[in-house]
Formats: sequence, C-alpha cells, structure tokens
Amino acid sequence: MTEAASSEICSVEEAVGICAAGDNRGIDMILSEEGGRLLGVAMRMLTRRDLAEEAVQDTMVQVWRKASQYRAETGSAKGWLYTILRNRCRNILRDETRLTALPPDELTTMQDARQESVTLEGWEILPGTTRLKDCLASLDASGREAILLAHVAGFSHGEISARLKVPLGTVKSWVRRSLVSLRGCLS
Amino acid sequence: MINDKDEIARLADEYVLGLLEPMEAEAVEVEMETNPDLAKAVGESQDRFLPLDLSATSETLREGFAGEVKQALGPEQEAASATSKVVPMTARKKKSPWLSKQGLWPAIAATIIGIIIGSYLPLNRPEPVIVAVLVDANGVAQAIVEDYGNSEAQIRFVSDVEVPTGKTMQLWTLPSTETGPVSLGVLPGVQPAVVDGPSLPAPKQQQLYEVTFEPLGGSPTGKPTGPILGKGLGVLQGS
Repeated sequence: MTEAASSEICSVEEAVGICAAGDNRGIDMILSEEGGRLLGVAMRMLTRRDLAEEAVQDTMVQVWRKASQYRAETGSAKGWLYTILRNRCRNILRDETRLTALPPDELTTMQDARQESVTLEGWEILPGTTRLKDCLASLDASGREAILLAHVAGFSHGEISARLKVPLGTVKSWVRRSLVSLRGCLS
Repeated sequence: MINDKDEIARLADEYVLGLLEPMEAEAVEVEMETNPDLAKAVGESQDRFLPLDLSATSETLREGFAGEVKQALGPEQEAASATSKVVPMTARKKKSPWLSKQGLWPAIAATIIGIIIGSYLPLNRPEPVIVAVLVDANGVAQAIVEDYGNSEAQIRFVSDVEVPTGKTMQLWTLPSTETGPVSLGVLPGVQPAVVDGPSLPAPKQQQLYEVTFEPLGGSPTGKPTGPILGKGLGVLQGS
C-alpha cells in the first residue's frame, strides 16, 4: 500500500493507538486528518490565531500523554480529541495572567469577537439536517443559547449570566433542564 | 463512587460543555478511571455534541506547524517511556489497578515521591495521613502537601514559584464531587506552611489537592477561580 493510500484510510482512532504505542507519526496523522478543523474550533473560541495555534499544540501534547487512557468502547476518538481541545481553549481563556499580558485594545477586540461568536441563531451553524440540530431547535431559545455559548464559545456559567443578563442560578437551571431535554431527544 | 444515573448524565454533559469548576472537572477525570458508567456517559456526551465541533470552518495550518508540535512532545516522549517502566512495579506494590490504566506520569511521580516522603519523615513529627505532590501543567513538581487528617495540612514548595503581583496562593482539596472544592487555607507565600482548614471527612486515596492563584485575601467566591499552580492526587500513607 502506498503511503498516500494508507493515510487516506487512517482514522483518529488508529492515530491515537499509534500515539499510545509511542510513535509520534500518530500526531502527524491527527494533524493531517483533523488539524485544520481543530484550528477552526480553536479560532472560533479564542478568535486569535496565535492563541488558537497554542491551544492545538497543547492538545496534541495532551493527546500524546493521554493516548493510552483513551478507551474506544466509551466513545469516538474524535469526540475525545475535540473535548481535549475545548478544555485547552478554556484554560487559555481563564488564565487571567496570560490574557492581561495582551495589549488592552487587543484584549477588548478579542472579548468583543467572542461575544459575536454565537449569534442568537447560532445553532444554525450546524450544516444540513442533523439530529442534534433538530433537537436544539426544539429547546427553549434561552437554554439553547446557553448551551451553545458554553460549547462553541467556551463561556462559563458566569459569562453566560452576564451575556444574557439573567441571574447565575437561572442560567444553571436553564442549562440543566435543556441538557435533560437534549438527552431525551437524542436517545 | 457516583451511582445515580441522572447525576452521572448531568456531570458528563457539564464536563463536556466545560461548565464544571476546574476541580470538579478534575474529579470527573479521576473518577472516570474507575467508574465505567461515568466514562461511558462522558464518551456518549462527547459524541452527542461532536457535530458542533465538526461545524467549525477549517483553517489552514501553517507550514512547519506539525514539526513544532512534535518538538513540543520532547519531554513527554521520555515521560511516556518512563511511565511504561514504572507502572507495573508501582501498581503491584500498591495493589492499585487504577494506576496501570492511568498512564499519567504526574500521578505516578506523585505516588513514588509520596511513598519516599512517607518513608523518610523525621520520627518526632506526626505522620501525615495522605501525601500529594502537586505538579504543574507540564508535569513538573511544584509543591508537596501532607494532610494530617485532623484539619491540619502542611505544604512545602519544591520549585521556584513566582506569585503574580497582587495575587495570593490558596490550597484546596476535593473531598468528594458532591461537596465540591474546599479551601484548606490561603498561603502566606512561597514558604513551608501549616494550614488549619475546616473539619473534613478522613482523606481518601486519590483525593485531589490543588493550589491556585487568587486575589489577595483568597478566592472571592469560596471556590477556586484563578490559574492553577499545581495539582495532584493524594497517596494514603501506610496503606
């Protein structure tokens, strides 16, 4: 089999397995398969390319370290990979020391851009017809927005509360209720 | 161990959405190692929300990025090979099957250093019930916590810690996911200190300890809010 053909059939599952065996070609495979989209997710959450690249790099370091912990029977490697990425992005967003190192105008631009990353109809970012899209559409608008702000833009409960101008406790109960509805809808 | 199905599903979803406090998220990661129901719920939640990730517009990685990433793996490659040598021996010695699954160098380093510290404490000092080595995001040891299980805990720093201006360090533990993180005290600086925290249940194996940077006087919310200096899982002594 040629190298090109072999890379075509590689999956993230296989690549993680290769990392777990201590072979860093697994990292090349993941970046070749998913690198562009990983960077896209990080850009959507962090809005700055330098920070997004840092998040993707941190993610690959984590994947390399934790590859042996990944268990295929619990879920897909892609789901695992993107969860690590969003965790790294949130770590950057919550690292006050790092963000205050940015020039104030750049920090303001970044925070403004984050506010715009999920519009009121943000759930329509999902292409075509997916079950998740239908189920998100069936939620109350407030709960749906809270979930999207958390997942897509990396907002905390506190940030969602400030953005939607509702008390923290209300946000928490919206989120919990919407997550129960989503699980029911998707099961 | 969390058994309630609804609670597992809620924790899994909020973990995947990044809505848990950092220490609660840590606790979920620790518990997933031994709680297959929680691990499965997290995996299912990740897959439920995956279409949102896949909807992002792909960006072009710049040339040479993969090479830089692989360079950043450098120390971890050594760590990975060290882990494979250390795990089976440590797991046998402590009869803790979770370690063989964990594959986490910091946890293993913490276990080994914890055992060493436990063995060499001067005889005239009380024996800690549990010892945790707090490591930073790169797996470098920053501090050692010895919890005496009577509300007192001692912390010593093993690295040159720089506290950002206007910040203070605060020591936390997580007795259980239900309780959430509990402050053991605000630290006086980068020096050995004994803190007298609230009365808590006896520390458990793998209990999480962590130091965060907080505003002067300590976290305004009573929960960790700032960047993490280091975190580590406790190793029960004499077990």
